[in-house]
Amino acid sequence: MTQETLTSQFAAQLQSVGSRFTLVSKLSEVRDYVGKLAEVVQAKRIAVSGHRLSSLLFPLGSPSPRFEVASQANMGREDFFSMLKIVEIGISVVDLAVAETGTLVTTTWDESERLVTALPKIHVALVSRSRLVSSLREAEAYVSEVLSQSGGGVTVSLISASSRTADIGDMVILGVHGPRDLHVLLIDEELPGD
Amino acid sequence: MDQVRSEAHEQLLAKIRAGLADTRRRTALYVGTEGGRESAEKAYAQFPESQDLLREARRIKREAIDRLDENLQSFIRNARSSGTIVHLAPDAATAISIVIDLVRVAGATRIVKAKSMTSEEIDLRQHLEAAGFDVVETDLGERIVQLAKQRPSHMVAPAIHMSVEEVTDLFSKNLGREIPPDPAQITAVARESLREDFLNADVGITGANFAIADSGAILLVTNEGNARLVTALPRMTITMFGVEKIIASTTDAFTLMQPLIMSGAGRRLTSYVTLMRGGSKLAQNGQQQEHHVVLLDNGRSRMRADHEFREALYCLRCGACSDICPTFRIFGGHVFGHIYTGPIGIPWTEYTATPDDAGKFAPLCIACGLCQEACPVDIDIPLLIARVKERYTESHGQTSINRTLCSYETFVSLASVMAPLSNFMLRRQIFRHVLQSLIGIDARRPFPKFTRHTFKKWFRPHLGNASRTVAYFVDTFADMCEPEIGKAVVGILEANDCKVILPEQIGSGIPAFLYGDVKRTTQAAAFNVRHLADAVRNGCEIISSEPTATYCLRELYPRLLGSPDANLVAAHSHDLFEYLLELQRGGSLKVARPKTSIEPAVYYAPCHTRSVYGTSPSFQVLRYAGLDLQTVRYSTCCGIAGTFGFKVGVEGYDVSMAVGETLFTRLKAMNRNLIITESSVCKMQIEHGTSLRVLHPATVLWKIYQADRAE
Ligand code: SF4
Ligand code: SF4
Repeated sequence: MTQETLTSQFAAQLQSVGSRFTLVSKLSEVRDYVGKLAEVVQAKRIAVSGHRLSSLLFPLGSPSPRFEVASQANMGREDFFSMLKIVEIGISVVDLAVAETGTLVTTTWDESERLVTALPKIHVALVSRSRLVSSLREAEAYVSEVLSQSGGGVTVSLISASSRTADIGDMVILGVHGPRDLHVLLIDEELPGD
Repeated sequence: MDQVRSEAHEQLLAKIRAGLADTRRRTALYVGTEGGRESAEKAYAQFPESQDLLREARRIKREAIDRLDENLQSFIRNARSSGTIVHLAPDAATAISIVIDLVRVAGATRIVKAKSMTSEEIDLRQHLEAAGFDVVETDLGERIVQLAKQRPSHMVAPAIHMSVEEVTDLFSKNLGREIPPDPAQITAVARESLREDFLNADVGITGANFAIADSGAILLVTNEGNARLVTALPRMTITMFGVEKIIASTTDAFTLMQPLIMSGAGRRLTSYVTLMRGGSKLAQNGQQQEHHVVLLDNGRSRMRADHEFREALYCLRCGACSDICPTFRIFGGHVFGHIYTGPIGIPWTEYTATPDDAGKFAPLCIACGLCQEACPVDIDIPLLIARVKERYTESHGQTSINRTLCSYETFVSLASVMAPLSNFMLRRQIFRHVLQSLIGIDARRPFPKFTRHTFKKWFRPHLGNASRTVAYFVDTFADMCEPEIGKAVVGILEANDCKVILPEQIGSGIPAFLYGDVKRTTQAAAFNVRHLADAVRNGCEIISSEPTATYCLRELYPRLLGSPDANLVAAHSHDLFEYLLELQRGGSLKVARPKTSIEPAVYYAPCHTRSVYGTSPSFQVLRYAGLDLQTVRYSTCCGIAGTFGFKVGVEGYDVSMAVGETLFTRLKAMNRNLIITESSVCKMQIEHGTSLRVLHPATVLWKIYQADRAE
């Protein structure tokens, strides 16, 4: 399968469950995307998962006076946790993405990283183009390895859509516990895995 | 022994009566289960390799259960090496005291829970609450039933039985303010209040969808994402699950989660699948989370030792069997269930609770067989339910009406010998009232017409040099009620260069199966298999024209007898139309184009012909023969279920008509006067429910042949 077909399959899968998909070429575009998003939803606080991502994405802290950027690079663990409870947007990098199912695969050892993708109303996930694989089977080989090689204390999350329920009146409602909106940015640049 | 008016049975009838009258609940259940069913169908339709996936899934579960001891040891070893503390609980009481001790020692007061049928099984929440802990269910459906002080009524959708208004009332009461009756707003309110609970919890309790032996990891499937918060925020987590959840590898988990999700959630994957190995570093203080696993047996080892019930342990808990079950869809899990609900709930209750608990609601199963068809791992749920009924009637006795109906085939022979007097009598209201009050057969249910000029008396093998010989396994109806069907079958086969023989045979024994008289069915099976196997050895293929007969030969008899002969017969048995379709594919079907005008018709696929995601052969052959035929969109049973719909009032008739209601409405709305279906009992039910004419596809096809010849 060519890169193009993989990408369009991935995009179609994400869109079929209501997620947003955007192609970007470099980090500065991510910064702009997030800035605009924050403006539209009037977000006041954004959390970034991982030291390296936050220093790459927001090397000078928040680019706008309208929102704060929180990460473990610029604050202590406890403060970051307090921020996590109130941030509107969480940004993270994923290890792999699966075109066949529109799935994001992430590995976390520290719950503060997982919570960036679980607590806010909006989750923005960044995927380097090189991390896009075609099938669930390929992702499985990776997950197998992570689980068997880590000594423990590891969580692998497969995220295929935003949080939802159909428990009331059989109607699908988004954002019941976790993010209501999932934005996926596929980027040509290599991103750091923390 | 007669179980005349036993208390348990009276209670069941009372629940049935109340369930039938509760239209609000029935609507909620219907919408919910139909939605579940349709979304699952869509998910599979978009996934072309699903047949291979399902076969592989069953193989994996079979091996996992076969090698349970080995996998269990390896799971424990690997979980411990990742820092998880593993506890073994042989029974409910032990599991409860393990959990209470853990929570107590941790000095915890607040507990958040994710959905777990295993904790329902042992009433874990109730025990924790009684011990003074504050426990909050966080799955929205579970939270709703917790607030309503009920139990989940469905394995996947716990509050499927509740209307939006009921849920609104619950949350308004719980939060002490008026909430609008709108799912989106209720959900938003629930998010806020549950978020507080997550953030303040000391302990999180979850179940597991799979436990992976070779890494000691746990896999959790969720759409809401509540299980992520339950496992990420509290300082201690407890994962409790049954030993049957242990599978060998991550590869197996990836395979199994797909049918679980497609059948259960109707999507390719759920929003979240989480795999955890040990507790992670906590966000609040950087310390390692304390992670415990409680492995529950509670009857599973006994279930595993039972060579028939063992396969119930393959269950993935997807709930698909409930969504398709005709009676579950009316009553929901509060009637059709003990703690485990729906079809698979019956065999599960037999071992995780008591045979009495299972036997009490088992009569709600009308043996349509659809649950097995819907089951992604092909568990023979109908057989296990028949065993539950058998055991229950052995210890409690059979109701007298059921005992009578077990001999339905004898009754039909009698009525046939006595025809036309029997027909005359069975149409007299006064006689029907006697039948109703003495035997319990509903006076509103019309009987078929019987004839003494049976098919078997008519039949002569036509010698000649046909290229194939086939043996016809004729059903009671085509023999003694509508011999025209049998004659049509023979005519069609002979027209297709088959010599037809009629080996010695008796009725299939299926009426007894419905009421758990499995012995009687097994005897009929043994007799028929003995004679049919001889025919096969003489080079015959076996043909039947009644779906239930084909089902017996192919599925049920081999399971009941487990003999090489039964397998031989099964391998050589065909539904008439499937046989014709094969001929057509091989280019040798001699079919005439209809020169008579056969009116446009609607085809209804009876339960036992329905391979859930395919088109039935008779539909294809009749279409090929040029008939203007449509199918009716309907995924469950017509409701009559053999003799079930003959039983008086809430014992059968009322339920059967309630089940059929949607079908009747849809058939009538299609504005065609002819219905085609191969099942004799569906025919009776549809004629009764719609007043439309119903014909067997063989009768229709034979008309086409005859018209062609007359040219
Ligand atoms: S056989 Fe039919 S009635 Fe019985 S449990 Fe299965 S689906 Fe329900
Ligand atoms: S028995 Fe089969 S269909 Fe029913 S819940 Fe279990 S896996 Fe699903």
